[in-house]
Amino acid sequence: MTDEIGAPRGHIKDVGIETGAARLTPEIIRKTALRMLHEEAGARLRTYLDICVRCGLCSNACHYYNSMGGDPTYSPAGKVKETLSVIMAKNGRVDVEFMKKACEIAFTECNLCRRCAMYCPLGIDTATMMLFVRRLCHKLGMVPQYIQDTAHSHSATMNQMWVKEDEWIDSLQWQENEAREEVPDLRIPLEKEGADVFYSVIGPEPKFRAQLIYQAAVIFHKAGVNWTMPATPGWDNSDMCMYTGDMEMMSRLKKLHFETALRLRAKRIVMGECGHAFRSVYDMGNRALGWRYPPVPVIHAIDFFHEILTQGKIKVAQKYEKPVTIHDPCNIVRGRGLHEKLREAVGMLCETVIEMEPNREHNYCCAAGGGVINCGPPFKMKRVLGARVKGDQLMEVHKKGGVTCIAPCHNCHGGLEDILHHYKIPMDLKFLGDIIYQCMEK
Amino acid sequence: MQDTDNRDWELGEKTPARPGEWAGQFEWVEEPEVSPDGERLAAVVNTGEDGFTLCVNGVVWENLYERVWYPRFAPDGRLTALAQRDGQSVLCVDGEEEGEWHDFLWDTLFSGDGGTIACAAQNGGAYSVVKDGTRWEEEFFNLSGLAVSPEGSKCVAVVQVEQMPAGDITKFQEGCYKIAINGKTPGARLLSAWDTAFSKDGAHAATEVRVSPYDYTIAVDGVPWEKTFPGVWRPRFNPKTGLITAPVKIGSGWTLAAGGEPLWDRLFTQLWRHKYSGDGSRAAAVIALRYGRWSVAVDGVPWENTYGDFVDELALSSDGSLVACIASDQGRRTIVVNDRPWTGAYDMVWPPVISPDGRRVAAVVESGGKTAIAVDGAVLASGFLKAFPPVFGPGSDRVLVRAIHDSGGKALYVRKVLQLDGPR
Amino acid sequence: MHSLYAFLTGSMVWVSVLLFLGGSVYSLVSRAVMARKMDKMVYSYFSLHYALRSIFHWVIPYAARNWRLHPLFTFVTFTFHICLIWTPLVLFAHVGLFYEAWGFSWWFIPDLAGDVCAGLVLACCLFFLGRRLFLRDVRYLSTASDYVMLALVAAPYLTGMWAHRQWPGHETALLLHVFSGELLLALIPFTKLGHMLFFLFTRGYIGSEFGAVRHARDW
Ligand code: SF4
Ligand code: SF4
Repeated sequence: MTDEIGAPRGHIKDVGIETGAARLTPEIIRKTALRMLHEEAGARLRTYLDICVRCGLCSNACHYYNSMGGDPTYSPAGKVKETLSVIMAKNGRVDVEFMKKACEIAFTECNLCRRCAMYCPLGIDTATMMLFVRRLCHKLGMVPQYIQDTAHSHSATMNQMWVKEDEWIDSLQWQENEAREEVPDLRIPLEKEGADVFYSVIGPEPKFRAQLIYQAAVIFHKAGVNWTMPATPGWDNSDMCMYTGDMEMMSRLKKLHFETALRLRAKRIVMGECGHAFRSVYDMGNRALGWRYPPVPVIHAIDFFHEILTQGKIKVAQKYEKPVTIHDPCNIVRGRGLHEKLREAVGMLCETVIEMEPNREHNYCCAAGGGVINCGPPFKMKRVLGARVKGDQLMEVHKKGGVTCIAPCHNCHGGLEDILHHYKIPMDLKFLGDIIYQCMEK
Repeated sequence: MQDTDNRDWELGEKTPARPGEWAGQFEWVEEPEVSPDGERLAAVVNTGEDGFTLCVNGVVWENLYERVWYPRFAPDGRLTALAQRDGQSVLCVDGEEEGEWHDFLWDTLFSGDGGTIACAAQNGGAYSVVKDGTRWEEEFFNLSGLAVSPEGSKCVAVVQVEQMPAGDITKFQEGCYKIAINGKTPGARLLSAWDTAFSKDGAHAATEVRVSPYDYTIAVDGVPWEKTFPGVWRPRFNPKTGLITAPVKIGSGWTLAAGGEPLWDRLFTQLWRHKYSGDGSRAAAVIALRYGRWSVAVDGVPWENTYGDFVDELALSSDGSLVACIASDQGRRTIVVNDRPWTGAYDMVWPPVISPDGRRVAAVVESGGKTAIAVDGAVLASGFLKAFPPVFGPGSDRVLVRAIHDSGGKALYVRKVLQLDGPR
Repeated sequence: MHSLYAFLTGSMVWVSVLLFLGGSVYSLVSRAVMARKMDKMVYSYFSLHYALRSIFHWVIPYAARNWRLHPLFTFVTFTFHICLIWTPLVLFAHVGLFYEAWGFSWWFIPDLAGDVCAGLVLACCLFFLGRRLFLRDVRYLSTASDYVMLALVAAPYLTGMWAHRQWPGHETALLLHVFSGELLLALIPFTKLGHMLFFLFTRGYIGSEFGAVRHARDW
């Protein structure tokens, strides 16, 4: 046991945090914080702060705490103590250095994974408080550069990756052409009114992982799904504004997304394999607009794949032989309870499954979620170190013979890729769609 | 949709097209579009090795392309589509190529009478607008949100006027976007901008814009209102007075504002998609009366009934006495007219269409995979595979039904004019 | 001394009970009102079924995974909370006082058993103190007020046992017992002890969110 507590913070220089901080004064911080405390710190937040008995039972819920040698400043309650507790207690009288540190903690040391809410006997939701701190940082104009840039892209183009209107259509048409080499009568139906399924994806799909659209098209085609994609903005379901605390932009993004589904008279929105986007569409964005539940049913790809597999619309030609493990993305497991369907689907597709422990709702986050990976290269090392427990889990699986990790989420892929590489775990990563595409009767 | 031209309003049925028979002639037939008068049915078809074209009432266009997409009938009945070959795009109108080829064309739009056709265009990474075959002289780094004024004199788009190096968050916040009006960008620099609305005469355009990371407002002809809000939605012009109104966020609620000042005297949990009656006497908006309960407010007064899923597609009669919308509760959709929902609930409902006399409402509805046309809540014609929006005759006593039904296993397009019972 | 005792067992009881009840009602109601204004979704998503489902799993020892991960702590904390709440309510000495004043009584435990319970509470307090002192994360999280709270909680049980066992100075101890007990009661709504009131709502709310919206377990 050492007395030294608290990881060094502030040595990572981030353009967004630095330029934001340069414009700040304690007076600006105080005024902004006071206004936010007054207007937005509601009963939930205040009660959480009031009643936390600082028992530390949430500590081992957090992968950062577990990965960082039990440094208590990484425990959920520790992160609150380092940030919001002080802001609240001092009524916003904190200095610029303090806010820089708070910004780093809230943006890069919490994945908003909500695991700790499951481990705190009082049900205190630390993620809510970290998001509050992020929003304060947003209002102070101090947000890590990479994720801020992404939020700007959302604002300008209504998608995450600066994809222009024509580029979006062009990528779909290009994927359609590619896929027709394999399935000559395949279509990616654009702007088809009254389809059963409006398929929406995240910005990086057309930009970097277009083959996923290709695969989805082949799967939908073979399953005989009546589906469509829009030729207008509104196609992107992703949302980094939700994670920068820019709730106004989050609302705008989700409004357009839902309006697009309503305009196309689609019966359901089926989303690609992404976790955060699901949280935005299913949980946070709709609420910010006044919708208790999404106006159009929102189905995550796992749910949909499970449906078409169990209905026999997709037939498995040959099961995936290499032993696989399943990474449960927080936002569709603690966020939607899809872990059993995921396992059933994997069971139909793969010969051998080796589970990581703990799993299902109790999974560890990959440390990429909650916008942390989107804070970019400056914070990459911290993120990978914060995911050591995930690395340990994967190493265990590898030792038991696991070869492939199935992770039905984009950000998880990014995070796990770095983990596998850093901890030298020779496993490969796949989306469930990859496996279906590979194993199905075509 | 209202009839203004010389349509055939004779009672009876025609079968201008037999799409079921096309299927055998082509590799595949895509989703059909119908002309406003219902006399023509068109669809993109894959002819096989030679490529794609449009099939109109069974007759194909002469030219074949690698791809033909986005077939749309203009309000004046001209049929447009975007065609591609060798990585280039061209707009086709009634089978003829209009204007030059471009690197990419998309988002075909029409003026109210269809006299003007515009598309967004990209050439060598530079963005512009093509209006009636002529490209803007100005080019931009990006372009979105294209809109055409009702009388066709103006095209407005959101354009990027300065290149941003990757990750330059400061530059973005200084404003790299502007509103382009017929290519000119007289207004202010903006962080972002979205939907545009035009005045009735097309003289002015109002756009929802973001002027700082925290401030949103309405820009009129590219120039933002001085007053800003934490949120705004799409503006509208009062067709009578020309007053520009927009839903704005004030505190934790939303209301309708004009020129930056609240017009309605109460706040709603949400308020958007407002519309005016033709005579400008009334405004109605979709509102969330409280969290999770949706409804309509007419001149600021909410309806009594609320719905859990959503309310959408407001329509007002020209004198404002009738307000209709789509509403959905627990996954069942219906049409609501003046706060009274139709008794039937459906799997899917298309926007309500109001008769010229402002007394009747018709809509396409779908249940169990079959589509029907309903008028004032009662089914008028049913059992279709697909139905297009109904059109009321000039006397409001007839309805033009345009629909595809299954005739012995083959899809058949029918155009019928049906008589409605006496006035309600 | 006698009049002080009379005062403490007379008016002060009322004061402390009123402070406890009034304070509890006030803090619950004011939070409820605030939630109506600022956290509308709390009302919208609160589901009795799922709230109870969650609470149920957390008030049963070892039913939640985190309880199982901390077997000793779980044993201690359940012992502590049970003894803490039940002992004063069913202690013969307390019930007897009620009978004297109001003429009615209820099931009680002998004072000796009360001493055992108080001893358990104290032992648990020592355990908690040990955690605060020696567990790295808990020590870091603890603030001065957490130690004061611990002392405040221990005080009535220590002094109660002291008085009952008639250890030297037991008369003063009795006074301190009554006073600290009243102080503790009165402070519940105004300090972290309020978790006792809010537990049902915070746990219930997260249980509702997890159950009704997210279709997942939260234990
Ligand atoms: S958040 Fe919960 S578990 Fe963590 S210290 Fe506070 S009360 Fe204990
Ligand atoms: S990363 Fe997850 S477990 Fe850790 S504090 Fe954040 S929400 Fe809680």
